[in-house]
Amino acid sequence: MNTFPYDSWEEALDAAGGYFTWGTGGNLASVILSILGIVLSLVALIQITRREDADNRAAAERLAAKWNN
Amino acid sequence: MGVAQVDILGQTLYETHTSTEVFSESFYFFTVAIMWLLHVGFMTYEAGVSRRKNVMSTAMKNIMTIAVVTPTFYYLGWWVYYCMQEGVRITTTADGQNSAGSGAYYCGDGYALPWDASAGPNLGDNITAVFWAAFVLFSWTTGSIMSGAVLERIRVSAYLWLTALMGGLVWVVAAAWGWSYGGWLTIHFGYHDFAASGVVHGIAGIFALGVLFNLGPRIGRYDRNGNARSFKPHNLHLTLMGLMIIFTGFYGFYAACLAITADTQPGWLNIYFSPATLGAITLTITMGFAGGFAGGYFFSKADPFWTISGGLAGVVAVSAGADIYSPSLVLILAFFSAGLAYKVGNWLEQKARIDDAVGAVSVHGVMGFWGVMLVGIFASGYPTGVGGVETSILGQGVGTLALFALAFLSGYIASAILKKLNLLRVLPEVELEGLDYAEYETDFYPEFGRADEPIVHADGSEEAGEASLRTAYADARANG
Repeated sequence: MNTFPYDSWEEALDAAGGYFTWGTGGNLASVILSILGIVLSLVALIQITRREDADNRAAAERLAAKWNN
Repeated sequence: MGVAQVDILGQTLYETHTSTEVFSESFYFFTVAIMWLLHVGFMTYEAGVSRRKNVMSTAMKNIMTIAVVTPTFYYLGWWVYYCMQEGVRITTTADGQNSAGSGAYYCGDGYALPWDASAGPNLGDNITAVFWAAFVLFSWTTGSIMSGAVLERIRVSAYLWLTALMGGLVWVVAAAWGWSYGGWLTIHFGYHDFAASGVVHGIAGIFALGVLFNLGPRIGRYDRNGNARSFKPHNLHLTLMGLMIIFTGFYGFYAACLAITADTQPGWLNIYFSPATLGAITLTITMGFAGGFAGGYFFSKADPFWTISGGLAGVVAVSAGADIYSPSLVLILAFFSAGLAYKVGNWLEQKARIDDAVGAVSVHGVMGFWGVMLVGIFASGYPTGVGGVETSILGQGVGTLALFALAFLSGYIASAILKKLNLLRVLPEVELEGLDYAEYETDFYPEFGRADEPIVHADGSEEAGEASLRTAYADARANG
């Protein structure tokens, strides 16, 4: 079964501009997805930092008595 | 020439071009797969060097390097590589030829931006995505090099911010300047750094040096008189095995420094678009390891850590000229470079009192830029890049100064900001208890009882660590 919807490879490239997922590159969907990816990366890193800081302080408080004796 | 002949010629050229692109796509894909071994090796190596109480925290840094550096390089670094080749000025296709008139810029019209067709699945482009992936693996490598130097006391999150900066921006700027055919170091100074002695190893090692100044040594690493003591690696065999895995990954790293085109004989090019061969670099890396191991063994008097690190130091030192050196020259340079790395590493530890847990500053940072200078000495006059600018001691020196400053200042300033925010280092109680026990509340080896960790003095004598660590803890608390 032939699932390729075009008669030739060249026709496929011409039809999609070579960029299949969201149409040709540089369109609005690609820009929005990129911005979402950047925001996600930054928020994740900030959250990792906040969580580790809290864990670190809690652990130090818990262990202070042991190391001060 | 008739129409039919033109048609046949056109078809031949199209097929040649397509087959070369598909070959190149496959080639880069497999270099990427092999380069993954670098990171398997770095994680294994660093986990082995760590004390038992810090194994998981150490491994977590290596794993999360991939999570952080990949998006940073995708969203920022790839564009920087193409658009900052003339220095800090952004250059585009609108500028036409570069300032030496030796080629046009790729940057412009959105090229390499994350939403551009060049940065996504593109049926009309077999090359860009795999080439990007090879660069990402180089980016991870810079992070992993720093990772070992700072282990057992840096916060994982602080390391991630620093590695995002270095892997996504700092080394990329260095690569744009001196590891591209249009970089200002290439086109004006003939800077030659084939397998990234300077732009990867030098940058990462010296960036780490800048961080270590702010991070400080591990508690107990130096006694009250400033004499160096050492902690025993929890598993030396794991350390040695990790390095052997790294060496395997190096073959992929070297291969990924090559490019191939349809219209140049013998086909392979270095990053400056000068002819090279896969055979030449295979000879170089193999002879480099041989010379480095021998030198490390000889100069360290058979110390296991420095014998195997000597192999790494030797290869790092010959990487800049790996496409043009004679194999015997490689053997000699690698042998003595391994010895130099050993001496520098000891000096940094004992005299400068810089606690670099794996010798990364010496093996990667110092050997990286030493390797850049070796090209100026032993390959002076070699025409580099499409402009054919002669490589020279002066040009290599300018490159070393520019990249050294870029790396050290970025590492120092970024870590100083984190230190100011109290986010750089774990608290002393956590460090003494062990990052795994304190932060993850688990034990990497639950089947074994917890033993006191020995501290090794400079004369080789050992003592149980807890009493010394308590003293060092009291001093650390007293010094704020």
